[in-house]
Amino acid sequence: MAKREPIPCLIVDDEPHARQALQNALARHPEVEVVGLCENGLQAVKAINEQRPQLLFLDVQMPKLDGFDVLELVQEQIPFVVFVTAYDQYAVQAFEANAVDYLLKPVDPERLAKAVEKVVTRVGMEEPSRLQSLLADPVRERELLRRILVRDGSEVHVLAVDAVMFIEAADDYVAIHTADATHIKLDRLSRLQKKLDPRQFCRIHRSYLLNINWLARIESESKDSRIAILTDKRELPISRSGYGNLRKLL
Amino acid sequence: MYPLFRTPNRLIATLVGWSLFSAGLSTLVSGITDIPLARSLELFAPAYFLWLLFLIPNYYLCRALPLDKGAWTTVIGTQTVILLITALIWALLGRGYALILDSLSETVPYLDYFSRALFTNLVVFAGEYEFFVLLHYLFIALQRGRDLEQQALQQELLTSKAELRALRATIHPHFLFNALNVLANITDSEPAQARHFCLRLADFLRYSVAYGNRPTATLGAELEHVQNYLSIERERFGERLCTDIEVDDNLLEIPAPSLMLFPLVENAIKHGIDSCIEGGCLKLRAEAGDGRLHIEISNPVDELGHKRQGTGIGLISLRQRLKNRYGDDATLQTCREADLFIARICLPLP
Repeated sequence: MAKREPIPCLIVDDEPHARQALQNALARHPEVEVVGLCENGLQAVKAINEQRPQLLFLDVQMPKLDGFDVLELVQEQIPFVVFVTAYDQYAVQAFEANAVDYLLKPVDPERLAKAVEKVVTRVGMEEPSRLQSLLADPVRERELLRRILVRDGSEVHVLAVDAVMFIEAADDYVAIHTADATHIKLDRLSRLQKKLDPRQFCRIHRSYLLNINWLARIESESKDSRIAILTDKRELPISRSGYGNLRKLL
Repeated sequence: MYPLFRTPNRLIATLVGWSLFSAGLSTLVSGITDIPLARSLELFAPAYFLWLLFLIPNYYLCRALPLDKGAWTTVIGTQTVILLITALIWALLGRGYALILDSLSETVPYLDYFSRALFTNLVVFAGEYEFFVLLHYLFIALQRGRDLEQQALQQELLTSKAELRALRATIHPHFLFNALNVLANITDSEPAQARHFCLRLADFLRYSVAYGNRPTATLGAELEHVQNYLSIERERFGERLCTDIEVDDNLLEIPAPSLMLFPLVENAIKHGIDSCIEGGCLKLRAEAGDGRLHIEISNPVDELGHKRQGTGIGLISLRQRLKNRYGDDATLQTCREADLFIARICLPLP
């Protein structure tokens, strides 16, 4: 095999000993080069955005953003992922996310060698994992969201679902409006709607998903034209079918 | 439902028995008052049968007027008034019935018979009424005893469930996995620390496992146990976890339920410190005051730090254990103050 550049990789783990141990173990594998250690998901998103490593050794259970959250936020920027976790309960989910491999802690050096080998083969075939398509699968998460993650460059915002007033569709993006800010997220309104509590969020219009807790009143301009007035006086159009949805909910 | 009517068999038996009783009493009254037997049966047997309808409602009155409240005068007074009213109603109804019989017959003086036997009948009715009152109170008392017994059994079951849960949480596999990871990671790089870590882990497990044989420990032993736990978690959390524990030395010998502090400290770590990206400080204070032991554990929490919220099962089972042990004398309260989660235990001092 021709000599190639080492694969730049990041280690993401909230436990200091775990980061250190993995870094030490990887020192024996010249095929990969550790270019950074991240203590949490926020640092990981930032580092991935700025350093564009090819490979991620990713812990699942971390504060604020877990491993899957990190992938959701940087899916298009990271080609290869190896999950490293103490529990095997995430294995199926990890492989659904098209991870190259799934290592259990404590990491067995032989098992790590195999994972590195797999990565090298995949990089050699120049076949990036299709993280995005699989992560976009709506059935992957059946649990209702408590929070919505949005990324703005290297910065991550964690929005409480209750603080979201309404979500607006805009091409391939959605604009998530809270009382004091608007965040853009690469997602589809219908897909997001499926993950939100249907008793709280109502599709009042093809382009608007409203959190009914922020609805102050409904005004009708004519028989088929109604407007939702939010608690901060903002106005949103209500379509005819949207009015039907709203009435069912209220 | 009236106890005697709860099954069809009982209902039939009651009705048959009461019919026989009515006939028997008619015979007896005929002897006392010198009324011919056949006339007495015609006149009084249906009237006595009617008593049943007057006596049954008394069961609900007895239930509404329990004896244990100590209000004897109220009970006696109310029962007497009701007795007089029912007796009056019965006498009027009986007289009406006698009038009807009287108008149907030329020769037999039913009304006269009725008046002649009225005093005797009222005395018997009053006796009967008192008998039923006693019967009903006796039945209610028996029932209460059975209910209490059942409640006690249920309580016991809850206690052992809560204790089992507490024990299981202590030796949660995730905790052991995490500890083993730390150990695997530091054995090469820091052998002395690894050895220390093993000792703390062994102490921690020993205390947890011995729980079943030792429901009461001391506050000092409890503190040592959570210190062992914290020293294990500190290896995992690194700089994200700081602890601040202040307890007066003279409180260390105070008896306390085993594994009382652990679920609170574990909660503080799992749902508190670990939800904060920068971690935080766990504070534990214990002090005596007003003849009670006050323990307060506080930690920062980031509500959006985890995908899922905790189930709160650890707190529920601890609260149950305290209740089983101290009744209403011990409290466990939790609250949020800004970004802090605070748990407070208050126990009676021995």
